[in-house]
Amino acid sequence: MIALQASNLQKAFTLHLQNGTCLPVLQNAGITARAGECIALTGPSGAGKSTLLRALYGNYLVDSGSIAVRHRGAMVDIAKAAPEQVLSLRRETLGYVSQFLRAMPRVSALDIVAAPLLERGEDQASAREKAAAMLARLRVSPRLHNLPPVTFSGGEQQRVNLARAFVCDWPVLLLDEPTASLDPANRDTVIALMNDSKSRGAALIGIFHDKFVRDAAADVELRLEPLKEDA
Amino acid sequence: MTLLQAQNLQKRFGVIEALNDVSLSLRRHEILAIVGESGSGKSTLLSALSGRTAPDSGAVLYDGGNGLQPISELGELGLRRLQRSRWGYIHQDPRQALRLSVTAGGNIGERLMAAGARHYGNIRDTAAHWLEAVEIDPARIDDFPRHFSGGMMQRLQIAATLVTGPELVFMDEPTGGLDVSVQARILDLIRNLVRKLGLAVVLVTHDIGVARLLADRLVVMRRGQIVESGLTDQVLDDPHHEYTQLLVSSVLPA
Repeated sequence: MIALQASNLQKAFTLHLQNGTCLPVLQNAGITARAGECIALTGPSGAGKSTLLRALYGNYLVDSGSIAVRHRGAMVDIAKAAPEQVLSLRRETLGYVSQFLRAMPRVSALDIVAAPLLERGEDQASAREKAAAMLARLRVSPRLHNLPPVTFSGGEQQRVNLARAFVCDWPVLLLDEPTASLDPANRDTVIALMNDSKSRGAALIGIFHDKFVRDAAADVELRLEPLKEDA
Repeated sequence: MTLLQAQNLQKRFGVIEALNDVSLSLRRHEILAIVGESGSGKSTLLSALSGRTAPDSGAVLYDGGNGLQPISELGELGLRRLQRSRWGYIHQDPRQALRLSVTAGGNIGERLMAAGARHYGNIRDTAAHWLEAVEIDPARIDDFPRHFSGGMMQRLQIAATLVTGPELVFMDEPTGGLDVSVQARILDLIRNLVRKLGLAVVLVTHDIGVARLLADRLVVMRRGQIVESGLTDQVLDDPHHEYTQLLVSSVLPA
């Protein structure tokens, strides 16, 4: 079953503050992700891997093309969806692990992780319970759970970020360098979590610079190449 | 699902075009931020949306349960009734909203009484409850706000606004002029209350960090016009208009 299908994606950045320089990044890009499958985006830096991932999440606006995502049983084109539809997709269907945690002042690690469950309507007690269990699985010490992660180390912040993503059962999960600052034990946990998600039918699309992670979790590679300047 | 709508608003102050053909709509439970530099027209827009300033032309429509109706047809009394109960307005400077010679409890109680409450005991209990909700010790219910810090006064204004259970709240730079540590607390408080109460909010701010934290959607104003709009993270991470790119790139990273 196809969970996400993007085709004919075009994306160029026009930098008005640099004399209107136009940087084409995606041209005729496409991707098809099936339930239970993990796709690794590969290619040199500047090939548009992150741009593609962000476009799939609706964070970057594509110039043309379509991004169909299976949401509540129907395919919704996130490239043309109204803002409230994109938010509904992000609440129920599309998960995203960014490289860096956007920590909020005064909000504890536990509440950051529980937030997506609360947005789906779960009650506070069970959301917190699941959040604590996921933080524990990623080896975030219980004494940190009630502290805002602003002062955490890079690796701790990334694990909070990962716990926030894996606490929900996303049908489609996008991952941007999820293991970049993790030690081997935590990296193995993330691989296990990714494989768990796949076996319950999630489609995963990610950028994994670590070949070990790619080999352990990805089923397919999609290679992107940088566009020529005058393309 | 549309709660509030602006259609082709036009407002001129002398030679200045403060609003030039501005249209937008707000859904129930949605948080919309209006960003732009000083003089961009964002405060005039908030003022027009909330019925405090009449536009030269164009209309503001509100759905109070019977479909979208122009607020200009409510009459002065009808509009004031709306502003006192189902709408709220949070000023940048709480002194504009609070009466400094009336106790904290009195400030909250006044709005309740204006909305029709009469039972003194209930009003006092409700006031105490709201003080607690904004993290002010209820023991201070009989203190005067002039003895409060800036952050406490702002929290009191928030309590005095939310006590009538409004469905739509207008906020004009609610954390402007406060120390950053105090700002963080107010923002956290607003974020939690807005979600818990399911409020629709129109928020004016020049701080895009505040917009990112609170808003679902964003409109960017410049010289009286909306130059860009969309999902908050999309507009801030992939700005298209020249002015939005300037706005986003002018922020110093913390």
